[in-house]
Amino acid sequence: MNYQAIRAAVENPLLTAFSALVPPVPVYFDNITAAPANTTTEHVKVNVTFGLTNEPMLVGSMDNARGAIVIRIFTEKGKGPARNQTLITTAVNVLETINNTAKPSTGVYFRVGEINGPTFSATESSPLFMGRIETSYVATVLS
Amino acid sequence: MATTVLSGTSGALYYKPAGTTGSFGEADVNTTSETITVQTFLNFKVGDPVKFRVVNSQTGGTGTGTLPAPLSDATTYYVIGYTASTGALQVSATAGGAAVNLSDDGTVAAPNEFEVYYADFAVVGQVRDWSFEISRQEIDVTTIGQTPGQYVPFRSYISGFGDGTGTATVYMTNEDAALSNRMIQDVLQRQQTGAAFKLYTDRVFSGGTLSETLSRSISFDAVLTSASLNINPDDAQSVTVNFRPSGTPTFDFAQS
Repeated sequence: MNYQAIRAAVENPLLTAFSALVPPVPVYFDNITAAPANTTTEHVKVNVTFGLTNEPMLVGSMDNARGAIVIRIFTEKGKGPARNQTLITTAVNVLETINNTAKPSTGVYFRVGEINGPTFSATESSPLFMGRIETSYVATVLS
Repeated sequence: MATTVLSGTSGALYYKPAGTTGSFGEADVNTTSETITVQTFLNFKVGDPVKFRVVNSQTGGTGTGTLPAPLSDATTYYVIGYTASTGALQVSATAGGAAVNLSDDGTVAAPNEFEVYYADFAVVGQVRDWSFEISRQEIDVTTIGQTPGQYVPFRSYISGFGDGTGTATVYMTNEDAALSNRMIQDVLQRQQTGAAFKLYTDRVFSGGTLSETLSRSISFDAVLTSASLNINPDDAQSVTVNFRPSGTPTFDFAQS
């Protein structure tokens, strides 16, 4: 199992998409120090978790990673959800692009499931307004 | 030592593919082209390990005769070619090697015949689970006209024929040569002769090799009756294969 390759399959395109925005929006992944708690600068947090790694069989087991992706978008509070939803659209487009990419013969085959959300909250990570989407994923590393 | 329950993970499924038993006579041996003509539309694949023997076609037991030289019933050979439309079979002493140089036709007289068969059960590594159910027909032999006493008369039964059905759930993999893929296709194989299952309830190794003595298993010739593919975005691709014994199963639940 190549956890790094699987993680990269979703983190890289998200980072690329948000970095391409004008102005770029910083993205913080797992174990990367996020923006200060009281920052008013919009940013994105992405968490990738591995739920199940393999398929057990009577004889041995096979790799088949499944997990969850949580993307939280933080934008300025008190300005309506428009900016937040714009950034969420960027994230959703990345996830849908992953699903619309044909299966390669080598590398990582990555697919996300139903995208839940966005849900919004103005109470978390004050003073920012938060939009959140989450989805499941299935990934296999092709030899 | 405390008694311990058998873990489900100690089970396994072994399989002999369908269409891998064929018969032939002296006239079917060609010492020039090094081919043996068996039945058409069998399912021998290149690389299949096979053995030869002489059988009595009437009893199904061991027959009398001499295999074509240099074939030996103690040796495992490997299929290097089989033409389904003609039944022409070529074997080699090594996988992918040169054809065995047949020097004579052998000797066999009816009802005896030569038989080529899949050498041994092979493990199907992609099996997630298997189930096997055996049943017995019940025949009602109640005597009509009994006089009831305090309690009503009871029906009487005797047991009839036995029967069985089995199911195996198999993961689809990216391996072309996986035996599980072959098992799925075998459902529609025109000739299923040779198909057999060995279902281990407890597969035990001794000294690095499978110990049939220490293992517990159920083995039987089988027919494959259906396969159901399940492909969805959430789960690993799997196929459920249904089968049933074509003869009496052999139960080996003892370790002696």
